[in-house]
Amino acid sequence: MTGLNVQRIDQNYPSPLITIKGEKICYRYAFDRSADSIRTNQPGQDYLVIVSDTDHLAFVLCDGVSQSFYGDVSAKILGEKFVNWLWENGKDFGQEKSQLINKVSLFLNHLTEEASVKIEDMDLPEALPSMLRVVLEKKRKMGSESTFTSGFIDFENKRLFLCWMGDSRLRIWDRCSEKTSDLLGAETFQTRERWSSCKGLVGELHVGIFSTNDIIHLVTYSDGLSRLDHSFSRGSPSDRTLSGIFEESKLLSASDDISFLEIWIGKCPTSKPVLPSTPKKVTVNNLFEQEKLKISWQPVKNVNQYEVALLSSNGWQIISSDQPHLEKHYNEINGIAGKCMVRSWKNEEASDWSREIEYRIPNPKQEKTQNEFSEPYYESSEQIPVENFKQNNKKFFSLFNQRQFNLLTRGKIAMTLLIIIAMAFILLIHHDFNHFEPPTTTAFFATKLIPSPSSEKIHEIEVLLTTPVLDTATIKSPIEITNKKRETPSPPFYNHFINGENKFDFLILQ
Amino acid sequence: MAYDILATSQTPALIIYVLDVSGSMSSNLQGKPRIKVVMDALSATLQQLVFRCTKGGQISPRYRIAMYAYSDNVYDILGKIMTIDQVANLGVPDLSTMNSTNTFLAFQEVEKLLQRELPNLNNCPAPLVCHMTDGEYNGKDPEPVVREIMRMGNSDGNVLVENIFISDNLLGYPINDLNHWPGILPSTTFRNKYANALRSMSSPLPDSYRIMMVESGYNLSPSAVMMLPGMSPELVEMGFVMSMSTLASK
Repeated sequence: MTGLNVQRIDQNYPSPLITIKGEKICYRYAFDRSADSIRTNQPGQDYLVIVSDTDHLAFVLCDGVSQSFYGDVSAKILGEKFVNWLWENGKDFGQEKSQLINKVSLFLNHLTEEASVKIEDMDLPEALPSMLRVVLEKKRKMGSESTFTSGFIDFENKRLFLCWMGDSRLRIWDRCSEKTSDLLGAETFQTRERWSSCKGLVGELHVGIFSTNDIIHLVTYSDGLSRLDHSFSRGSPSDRTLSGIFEESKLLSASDDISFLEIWIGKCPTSKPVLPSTPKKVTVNNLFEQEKLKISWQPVKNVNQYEVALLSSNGWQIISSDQPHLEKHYNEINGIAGKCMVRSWKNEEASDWSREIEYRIPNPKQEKTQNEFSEPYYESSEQIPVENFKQNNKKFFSLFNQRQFNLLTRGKIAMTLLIIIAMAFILLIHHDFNHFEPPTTTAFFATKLIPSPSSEKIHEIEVLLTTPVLDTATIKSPIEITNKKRETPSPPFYNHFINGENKFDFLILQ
Repeated sequence: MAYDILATSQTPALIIYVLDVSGSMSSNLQGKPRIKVVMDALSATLQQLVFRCTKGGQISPRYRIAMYAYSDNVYDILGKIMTIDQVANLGVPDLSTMNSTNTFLAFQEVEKLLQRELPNLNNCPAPLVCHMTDGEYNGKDPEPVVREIMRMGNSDGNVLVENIFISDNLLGYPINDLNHWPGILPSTTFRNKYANALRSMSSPLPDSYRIMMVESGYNLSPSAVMMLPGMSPELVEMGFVMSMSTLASK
């Protein structure tokens, strides 16, 4: 075979969307780690490898099971070994599904021998908490696991073989429409099905054999890209839109590793994307009585839907809307404050996000009359809508007056506090003057370490202040708590953990 | 009220363990001190939580844990809410018994904690309170404060309250096949009056939790409540398994 092309991802680094154009087969792929893996500098647990020449292509996309022993390891072993096997044996596959199942099952069950040795030989890092070490050793006994989708395209003989286990997506199209449900069956993508380095196949191996005259388009991606489940219905998104979705996936609260592969058999797509316009005049209002946040914007012509992104410290929330507005109950919003943006979708293309606008959910205990956030937030550089200008103008003046009033009130309080502090300071100086000693005497007392009369007085005051003012039965001083703990001959609650750290000194006072 | 939000490191689940360490907890349950049974089950639970959260060699902080032990007073075992990776670093707490059973005080603390925490838990799984006791309370009736707690909640659902009642013979009959036991139902009869009160302080088992329990091998009825009769160490452990049945990613 001439012009062998091997593309594989590195689990430690992102792989931006790359397109490989062949004469008969084109494909594009991408990979990135989850936000958690990036934060902790851990390898991603997905693995993707593609081998191709002019007339053939073999691929394996693996999603390591994080609850197994180092899922990234089994994903890589399975991906590398399986793609080689597909490449070497793909042309000899027959037309019988049962034969294909037998051949693949035999190979994958045999692969456990080699994989088990690798898993057994893996050293755990030395500095692990004992509980984590115990858990990892338990996992090692259960093996490393990975779900997978795989395929072999034989363009010469017009055949396409597909195998999969688990919930990574595998979607196919003929010249007219998507055929995934009809030909692969939606129920065949089960999370519990996977390959295990210890047990081999766990669950049912699913296969499909098709003609490349029928199936001409294929997309596969790991469950970290489940957002794409509603995409591709009107064609393929452009690189720009797809790359945007990949980047955003890292910001979502349920961020997971992502791997993606799209293959065109025969003709590569050439059309240029038409991007919709970005929504403008975005405003945010709090609907207090309904306890909702309302985000609205100017409608954009000829778009299918909009998306609103709520950005907070807890990650992004992206919510779809068919209308040029969105109402969301406070309870459903991630975080109490953040920023929001809106974009429109036309077919498979997304516009740019609108500029960020702040939102804040009011504290339910806060009185509405004092709440300034009843005023809408406007996109900073946008004009206030003309039809509402007068009304809003009034509101702005009222808000301005309210703020002035608040400032005045706060100013008065600050002044009063300053006066009190100043008076206290004067009294203190006065007190010191009453017991003023000539400088020479004070210096003498200090050098001889004899307590001066004034310091004796201060000590008396301190003693007075430590005398309980309130009923001792209701309030306990920190000293009492310490003493009580020391007095307990057999501690009611042991001040240590089995692992040896003393962390149990937190008595809650009642 | 679907209880279907995934526990992730960005939207972690809060689990509050409330453990009775009264004097009676030193008596035996099937030849082992009850307090030891609880510690063993707690140890298994923490390990299972770590198991669920481990990705490679790292523990993803998908769960936040608070632990209270109570008798005459309430003790915050961890000193604050800790993420599961922090708890794994500490290990399993070593508990010993004290005197009386002031359940009211314990739940009052839980209520205060939830009042502080809930405003920050939007879009997180609904918090769960797992209460483990072996007998009737002294002092004030805890039911009003527990009911108040059960009325609190977030977008995922109301706060869930689970009770594990350690008792040798609560049902009057043994549970031979734990994997096919339907759980405590609204119609289950008890040999202990306080068990009825505890059942009324237990949340209905959400379907998402029931499905996770099925995956752990327990076949609970859709009408089961979040209450377990701690008649054996296995049942106590099952109770702790229930407490961590929040949906989590694969």
